[in-house]
Amino acid sequence: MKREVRRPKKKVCSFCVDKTLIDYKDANRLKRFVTERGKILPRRITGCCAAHQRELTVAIKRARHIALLPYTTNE
Amino acid sequence: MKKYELIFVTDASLELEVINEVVNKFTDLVKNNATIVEATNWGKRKLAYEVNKKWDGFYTLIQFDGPADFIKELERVLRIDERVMKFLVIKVDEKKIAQAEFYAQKRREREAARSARFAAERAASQEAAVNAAAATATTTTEEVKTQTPSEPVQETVQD
Repeated sequence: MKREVRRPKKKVCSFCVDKTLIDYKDANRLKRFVTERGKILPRRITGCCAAHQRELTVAIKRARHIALLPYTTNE
Repeated sequence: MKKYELIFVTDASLELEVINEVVNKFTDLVKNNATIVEATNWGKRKLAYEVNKKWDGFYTLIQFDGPADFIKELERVLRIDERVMKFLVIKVDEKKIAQAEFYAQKRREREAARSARFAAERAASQEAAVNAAAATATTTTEEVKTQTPSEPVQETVQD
């Protein structure tokens, strides 16, 4: 007997769709890809493709470096 | 010559003149060693975290074309100046920017075409409505007659 596997809806990489630049200066946009505590969301949640997720992590880390995004928050 | 981007944060708790002096110092430094493409002051912004017990910073962004060995010198000077809280120099990926620009341009064109089409459609439908109104103006009296008896029939069906 074949067990039914529940598969979540396939997500499409939002950066592939609108083909915009992932910019570390655009903190408001990057905020959508971190948790409330400032951790970078995994690919299975952001739905990004590998290449864009890689770019995204670099952008987030740069934004953190110049204090546009937090490394962590205590609230 | 490569494209670079310098972003630095000056201590915003300093006097405005001091901040201006710092900003000018580094814009001049870049200007003397490279060609500035664009320099923008973002102004005072709240930092995402505390730096040297301070929560506010004055952000300045300078995009420039310059030689690779100038970057080392620039970073050295930035590190020495205590009024600069944070800085970041990165090499700009021109290919990616060009690509994004290309698609942005394409999207703009598509949107313009779409809005033009919408406008045309709206004009056409308005025209059609006007024509239809003109055509039905003569037959309205008949329509009113035919519509009124049909209403009670529908109600009974719903019940």
